Amino acid sequence: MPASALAADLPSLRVGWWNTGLIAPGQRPSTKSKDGLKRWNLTKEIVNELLLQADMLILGEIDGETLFSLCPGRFNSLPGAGGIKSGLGVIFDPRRVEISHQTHTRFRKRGRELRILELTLKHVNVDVNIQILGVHFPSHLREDQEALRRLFASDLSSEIQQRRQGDDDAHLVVIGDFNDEPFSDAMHGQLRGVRERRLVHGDPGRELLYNPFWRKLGEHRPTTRGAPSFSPAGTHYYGKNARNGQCWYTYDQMLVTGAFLDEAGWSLNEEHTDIVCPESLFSQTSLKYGVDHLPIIGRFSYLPEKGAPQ
Amino acid sequence: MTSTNLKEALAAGLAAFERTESSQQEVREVFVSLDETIKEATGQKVSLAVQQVPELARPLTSGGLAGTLEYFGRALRGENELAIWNAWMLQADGSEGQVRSEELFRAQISQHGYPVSLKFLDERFVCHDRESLESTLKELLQRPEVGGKVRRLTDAAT
Repeated sequence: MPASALAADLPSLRVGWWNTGLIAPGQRPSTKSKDGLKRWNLTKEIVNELLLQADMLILGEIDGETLFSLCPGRFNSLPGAGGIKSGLGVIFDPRRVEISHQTHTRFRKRGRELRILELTLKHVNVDVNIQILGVHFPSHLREDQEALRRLFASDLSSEIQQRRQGDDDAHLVVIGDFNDEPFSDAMHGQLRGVRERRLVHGDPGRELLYNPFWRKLGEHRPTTRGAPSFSPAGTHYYGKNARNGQCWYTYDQMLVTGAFLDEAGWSLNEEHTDIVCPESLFSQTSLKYGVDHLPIIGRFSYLPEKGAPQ
Repeated sequence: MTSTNLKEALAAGLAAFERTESSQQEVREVFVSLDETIKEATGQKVSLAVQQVPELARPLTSGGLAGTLEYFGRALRGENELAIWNAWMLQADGSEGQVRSEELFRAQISQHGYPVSLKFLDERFVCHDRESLESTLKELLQRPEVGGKVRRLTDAAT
C-alpha cells in the first residue's frame, strides 16, 4: 500500500482559528445596511468553508447568539462564558471531536484583557486528551500596550507551565490572535515560542513551545509575473497608520508542546498547518468589509508506534 | 560590594514593601466597599462573609468519569496538591436564628496584593490592578445568577 494511502487512513485532527472581527464584544452585528448584510454573508461563507477544512473552529470577536447563527446544523457550538461580552466561542463536529471540559479565563489590567478559552478534547477514535487554549491578546490600538502584552504573555506562559506539571507528554495547543509577531519579546521572550523543533524536542525544562508560524512570515505566494491584485503577507491587515509602510502582520499563530513533535501518537502535521486564504473569499473587497484577519488551521496526525499493527 | 550598592538595594526593598502595603490596602478597600454596597442595597439584610475552601492547585482537565479517573491517577502519583481559596459568601439571618448563605465567588489574593483571582461558575478572572478588580466585581454583580442569590437571601431574611 502506498505511504500516502496509509497516511490518509490515520486519524487526524484539524484545529482552526479565525478572528472574525465581526463585533466589538457587547455589540451585535447589524445586517440592516447593504454593506452590513454583505459582511454577514461573507462571514457565513468563510465559516462554512473553514468547517470543510477543520474539525473544530475557535472564533474570536463573537458573541453566543452570533456563534449560534453561524453554526451549521450538523455541528455543535459552545459560546464563551459571560454571555454577550465573551468574545470567544467554538464550533465543532461532534462526529469527529468530543469536548469534555471548558473553562474561560481573563487576565485584566488597565481596562484591557487577555481572553483564554480552554478546551479538553479527544478525537472520537483516539483515547488521548488534547488541551487547546484559544487566546485573544489586546490590540495595538493604544500606544502603551506592548508592556501589557508582555505581562499577559508571561501570565499565559505560567498557565501553560501549570498544566504541564507532572505530565511530560502533555499535548497542549495554543492558538489565536496574539496581536504580536512570532519574533516579538512577548511571543519569543515571555511565551517561549521558538522556531527550531530541535530545541523544543530536546528541552529538558519543558518550557519551550514550537511555533510553526515562524515559517509563515511574509508573502504567501512566490513572485509571479504580473502582480496579483491581492497578495497577503501575513494574517492581519492594518492599513491605517502603517508602520514603515507595512500593512501585513503575522498575528494569528499556533504553538504546540514538544509532545506533538514525537514520532508516535499525536503529531503536528506541519505540511497541512497553514494560513487559509481562498481567493474566492479573501480579496481587497473582503478587506473593505472589515474582514482584516485571515484564518489559520493546524493539523495533527495520529502516528502508530513503530512496528505496531495499524 | 560597596555601601552605595547596599543602600540602593535597601531602598529598593523599602519601595517594594510600600508598594505591596499599598496594593494590599487597595484590595481590602475594594472588598469592604463591596460588602457595604450589598448591605446598603439590601437594607442591611445581606452581608459578606469569607470561608476558606481547599481546591486542587492544578485543576482537572476533564469532567465526569474521565475527571474522576484523572483525579485518582494523580492521587496515586501524589500530584493532587491543594490550594486555599476564599469563598466569598452572601449571608443573611433567617428565621429561628439560622444563618443562610450562598456563594458569590471564590477569590485568591496574591501576597503582594495583586493579582487577585476571582472564580465564578466556569469563569476565572485574574485582575492585575484596582481598575480591573472593580470592573470585574461590577460585571459579576450584573449577572442574573447573582441577582437571584441576593433576592433569595433578602426574601428569606427576618
